[in-house]
Parts: sequence; C-alpha cells; structure tokens
Amino acid sequence: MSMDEQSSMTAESGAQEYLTFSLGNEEYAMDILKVQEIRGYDSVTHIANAPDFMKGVINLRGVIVPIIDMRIKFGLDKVIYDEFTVVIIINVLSRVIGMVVDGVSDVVTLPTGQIKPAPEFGSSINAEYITGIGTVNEQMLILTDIERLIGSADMQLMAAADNRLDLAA
Amino acid sequence: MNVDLSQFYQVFFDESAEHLAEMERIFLAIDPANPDDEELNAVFRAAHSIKGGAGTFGFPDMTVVTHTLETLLDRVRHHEIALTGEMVDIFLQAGDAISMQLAGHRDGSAVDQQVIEHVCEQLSTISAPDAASPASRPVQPTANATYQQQTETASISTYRIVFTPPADLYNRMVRMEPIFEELSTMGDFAVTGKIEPQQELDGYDPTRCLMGWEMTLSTERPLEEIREVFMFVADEDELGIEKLAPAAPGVAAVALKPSEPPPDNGTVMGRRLYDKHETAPGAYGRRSGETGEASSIRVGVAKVDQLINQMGELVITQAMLAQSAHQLDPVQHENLHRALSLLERNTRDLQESVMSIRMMPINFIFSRFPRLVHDLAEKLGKQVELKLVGETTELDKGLVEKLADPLTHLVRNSLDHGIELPEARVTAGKPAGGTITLKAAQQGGRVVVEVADDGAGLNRERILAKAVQNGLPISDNMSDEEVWQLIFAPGFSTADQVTDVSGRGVGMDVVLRNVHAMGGRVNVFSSHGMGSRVVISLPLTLAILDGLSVRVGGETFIVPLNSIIESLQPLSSDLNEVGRNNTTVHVRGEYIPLMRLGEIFSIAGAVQRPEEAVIMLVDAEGERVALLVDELLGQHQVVIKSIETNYRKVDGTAGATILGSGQVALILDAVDMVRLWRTQ
Repeated sequence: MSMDEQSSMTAESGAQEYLTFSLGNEEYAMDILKVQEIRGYDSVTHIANAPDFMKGVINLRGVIVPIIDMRIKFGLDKVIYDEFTVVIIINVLSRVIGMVVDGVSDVVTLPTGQIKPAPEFGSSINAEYITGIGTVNEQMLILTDIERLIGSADMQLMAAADNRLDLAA
Repeated sequence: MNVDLSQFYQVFFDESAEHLAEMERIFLAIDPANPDDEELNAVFRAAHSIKGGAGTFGFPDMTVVTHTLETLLDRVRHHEIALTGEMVDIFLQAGDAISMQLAGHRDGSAVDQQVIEHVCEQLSTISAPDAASPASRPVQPTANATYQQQTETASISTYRIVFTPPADLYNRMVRMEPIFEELSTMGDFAVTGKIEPQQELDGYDPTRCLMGWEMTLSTERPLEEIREVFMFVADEDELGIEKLAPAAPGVAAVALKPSEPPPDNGTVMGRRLYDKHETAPGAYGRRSGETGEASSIRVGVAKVDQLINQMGELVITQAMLAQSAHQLDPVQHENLHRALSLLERNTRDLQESVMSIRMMPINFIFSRFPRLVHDLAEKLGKQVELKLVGETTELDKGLVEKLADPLTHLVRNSLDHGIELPEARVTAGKPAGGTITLKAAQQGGRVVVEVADDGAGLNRERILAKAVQNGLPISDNMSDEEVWQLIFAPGFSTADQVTDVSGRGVGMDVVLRNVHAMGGRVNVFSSHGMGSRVVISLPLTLAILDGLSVRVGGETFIVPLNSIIESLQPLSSDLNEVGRNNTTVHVRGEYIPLMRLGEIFSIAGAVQRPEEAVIMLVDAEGERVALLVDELLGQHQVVIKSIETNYRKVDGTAGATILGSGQVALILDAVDMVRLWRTQ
C-alpha cells in the first residue's frame, strides 16, 4: 500500500478503495488493504481429506500458503485452470491465503455515501458476508467482508481449537 | 539525572539469574572443610554483582539481602570465619530468597517477607560480633605491603584521599566502583571503607550511603587529575586529598594508623572494599577472564529464528539451482558445475553454523538437579550422589526448555521410588549411598538423555497388580519390556503410590507425552534390585530433518529418516489378504500390516499392486507398519515449515517442506498416519 493511496483515502472523507473481481456473472469487491498480491495459478500440492474447494498449498517465497477456489466454493459451473486463472493473495486474520477467482477487474474508489445496504437476494456469496452494494459505471458491485468469510467455520481454514504445535521455528 | 532504567531491567534479571545459578553451583560443590579460594572469590563476585545491579536499578529489598550475604562471604573468603556445612545451607537459602525477590520484580510473583527476614536473621547470626572477634585486621598488612611496593619508585607521589559522601550518594546514581577502577588505572591503589554501625534491619534504608572511603594512591599523575575523577561525585568539603611524604615504611604505617584499630566511638572498620587484583582490569563485577569463558552477546530468539528461516530459503534456492544445472552438459558448463558444488558445500557449512546458534549445552537444565537432589535426599532421609555425564552435549534451545519438566519428573521418581533408604541398601549388600546418573550423549542425528539409578528397580508384580486394578490389558507371559511400558499408561499412578518405594510411574504418561511432542522416544530398562534406567531419545533440532522423499501418484512426500526401518520390494508370496481390505506383509517371520499411502491420502494414480511398488517398514512408536509407496526418490535434508501458520494441521503430517523444484511436499508423521489409517 503506497502513501498516495493512504492519503487519498483520508482526503475523500470515508471513501475507500476496493479491488473488484468476478465470479461467474457477478462482480464483487473487497477492501484493497486486505490484498497482498495477485498472481497466476500454479500447480499446487494437494491436501488429503480436505473439502474440494481447498485446492492445496503452494510455496509463496518460502511461505506455505493454502489456495481455495471460490468458484468451487460457490458452486459455479465453469471451473477451468488455464493461463488466465487468477489467484488473489489476501492477508486476513494474520494469515496469508490464496483465493482463486474468475478474474480481477479494477481498483475503484467508493465514497461511503454510494454504498447501499444489501437487499435480501440470492447472490453466490451468503448474505452474511456482504456488507453492501455499490455502483460504479452503471455496474453493480457486491461488497464482501472477506475477513468474516475466510474466518467462517465452513471454510475449514482454521483449526477448531487453535492449539497448533509450532514445528517450524 | 533522570534516565529510564527500566529498559535495562531484563539484562539485570538475566545476569542476576546467571549469578545466582553460579553461586548455587559452587555452594553445592564446595567442601566446607577445605574451601577453594578461587571458588569463594567467585561466589563473592556473584553476590557483589547482584548487589551492585540491584542498587543501580532501584531494587532496595534485594540490596539488603545481598549486602548481608556479601559481607559474610567476604569474611569467609578472607578466612576471618571458617566455612561450615550449616553456613552453606544458609547461603543456599539466601540464594533462594534473592531468587524469589528477583522473580518478584521480574514476574510480579509473590515474595514471602517472612522467609527474607528469616534468612537475613540467620545470616546476621553467623556474622555476629562474637564470631567475628579475630577478624577485621587483615586489612592492614595488605595496605602496608602495597605501600612498601609504592615507595620503591621515587618519582611517584602518594596521596591519601578521604571521601566522606553525603547520605544521598546512591540516590544521585553514583557508583563508586567505576571511580575506584579509574583510580586503580592511575597507579598503585588501595581503598578501605568505613561503615557506620548498622542499626536494626527494620529501619535500614539501603539507598542511604552509610560509608566513607579512605584511599591511598601512588601515581605520577598530578593532583588535579585525581580531583577530576571525583568531579561529579564529591563536593569540595566531602573530599580530602593530602600528599604523603615519600618516606620509610614505618612512616607509612603511621599515616595509615587511623584505619588500623577499631575506634571506640562505635565506628567499626569496614572490610577492604576494592582490590584491583580481585578481578581482571576492565572486568569489574563480571566473571573474571581466568574461567576461560568465551565472550557472548545476547540476541533475541526471534532474530535467530529469522536467521534460521532465511537459511532454509537459501538451502532451497541452492537445491533449485543444482537441479536446473543438472540438465546442462557437464563438459560445456564445467565451471558452472564446479562453482555450484562449491556453493553446495558453503551452504551446508553455513547451515551448520547457523543451526549451532540455537544449540545450547544440556547443562542448562542438568545444572538444576544437584540442588534438587540435595534438597530432596535430605527430606527423604536418603544418601544420594548425583553424577552428571556429558553436560556439554548440545541440543536445540526449544528442546532443552521442554526437556526440563520430564527430566525433573524422572529424577524425582528415581529419588523417591528408586533409591532405597540407607538401611535397606546396606541389608541388600549395597553401599548406603545411592547414585543417580544423568547422562547425555549425541548418537547420530539424535541426542540420548538417560536417567539411571542403582536403586531397587521396577517391581514387576506390583506393576501388574496395579495394571489389573486399573483395568489395563495384561497377560501372564508379558515380557519385562512390555510390563515396563505399562507405567506409561495414563492414570497409572495414584496418589497412594507416591509413598510406595517400589511402584514407579507417578505421571509417567506426562513424561511420555512431553517427549513425544518433541519427536522423541522413551525406553525403560530395569533389573530387580540393581536399579533402573530411563532413556529419552530426541532429535537434534526441530527445524531441520533428514528425510527420504517418496512418490505416490503425482505427489511427493517426505518420510522422516528416523522412523524408517528398511524398504523392500515384496514378492507376491509374502503378501496375504486378511479380511476384505487388509493385507499383511511377511518379513522375516513377522506379519506386518500394509498401509497404502495412496489410499490414506486419496491420491489418484497410485500403484495398486504391492509387487510393483515399494514397501517401507516404518516404526510408529514401537509398532511396525509397512507403508506402500510408488517409488523412492532420494534422501534430503529438509527444512520443516509449518502448514499451520496459514492453514490448519493436516492429519498424518508433521508439517511441510519446499523441494528443490519449489514445490511443497508434506512431511509424514508415522504415528499420526497410523492413527488416521485406523480411523478410515
């Protein structure tokens, strides 16, 4: 996160920057401050006995990062892995996690005033993890609370009781 | 002057803890009848350093106890009072009291004032004036001798410096030691202190300066320079410097006269405060150089861990390079290959050096046992000698810390249940005093720590009886080894067994669990009437592991080398179907269950027929299983990475590593894998 972006946020009181990404036909947005980087999809090491959307783990410059495929998680029909498949590496809950989506579109600035509360509707993502609806260039954006989504029990990304054994120093 | 001293507290705590440990070690080893002067000096220095630190950092309560202790120790080391075994015990208690105060300041734990007062009382009983009557004189000959030396050189002059400080000297953050040190570098220097009679400890304010100093200095330097030393310390009226005429030794004795006999007005002559021969120059308050200890720096564990992590990255990068270069023509790229093999060697050396930073001698925990055994043996009325073997064996810091509890447990057990009372031992034809041996040694990639005693040994009948009572499965023809394993069963011990001489096993399940958590193993050996031996075997480090990489389908796994017994290609005649899905392998008369790795981890494309694959015999905590894999790839040293940092624990694995190709490979945990296989 550069200084410019930080200051531009505070300048336009309450405005926040979002990264927009697509899943199927829907456009979603997430807080850009949670995004660490965006990279292509590499081969993963599979993890046995994990849910099908848990693709496995990769080596991200020496750190072992789990990769989840949001398309499988949200039951989209078309799941292919090619050179256009995109992984958003996010940093939430002091964990680094890779998220496969259909595509990354843009970085947009949304003033708080432009964000409307989400109506009860059937988007792919459960309404629980949606913070609101924004509009950019006549297009609807679904704002997601990525932290809550990743931390939710059905993602199975965290140990039930956080009693991890520190094997690596 | 208002410096925030709190930033230095941690260093003071660490150092004081070291000094206390050192004091304790010496007291336990000392022979009261014939104490070694060097050791007495070392103890004195330790006490003195703690006192100095406590004064500087504003822990007056610690100053009181250490001061009393130090005063006494000083007289002991000058042979003014003889050391007795009783005194050593009191000194040990004083050490405990100071530890308690230290812990109070460091962790905010409770400090029992009664204990402190009791210790102070005992200390002052020893140093009571009647015991001290033949004392307080050795100051004079020393000063005299120094003086004689000085007068031999004519060009230098001798000064008598009298410093009468105000009571708030210490509150002004003045420490006298650096001043004495500076003066001692200027020439021949001797100092004697005068102290006002000490009142009741109750009203004693340790921050008040009750002392005055009288110094003699023979130097070529001008008077001004001496004044300069005191510039920020003494006001003019507090400091008197007079030049002594270079005269015959007799005159010198006269000049020093006031410091000789204890005057009647109650001003008792203090002890000699500073002697520049006491410690090496420039090392005041530290352990002297003659102990041969290497200098060291304190570094946060996090920094070391970061270094180790980065080292791991380098190893991986090096492996990647080697792998890429392997595809190049060796003749055409001869230089590249040579450079790469050099890189490999350098990386390996660097890795060893980096890993050694985390290594620390096991003496770190062994050193606490002499005290524990000393105290507990006394309490139990037993005579026990503790032998330490291989204290210098090095082990990963993390392991050393985790080993403390299990070892304490085992030593307590040996003392409580292993070693018999002296009468019983004599009846059994053994010497009245028992021996407990703590032994550490490196064996290959593991460290073996052993607790052995020459006590009664484990009692087979009692263990079996207890096992029946606890509903554990037993049979009459169990081997001794199998019986000894019973003591590790959870809940095997009961409260009434604590007093039972022969029945071991108080919390042995906890010992086993702790050792397993470190990737270690526990074995018990015992022979009736001869004693018993518990052997703990641990990996050298938690960060790096020797492993064999194996392929199953398209996946690569690492199997820790220390759990592999052998690998073989089975013949179809050795394979037997048992039930619907189970297979056993017949290896040299043993039928071993076959686990298909591909099935456990649901890997598509794994070889189905065992005859076409490879079987690895794996030791899962004493249980042997045969692991079916497609192919063995090679042996590596791998850096263990946590999957849990960003994900959660993966069943059947002990972490992951990064291969030369940059791919992640899971490291298998034999025991967890067997558990997973059973539940599937």
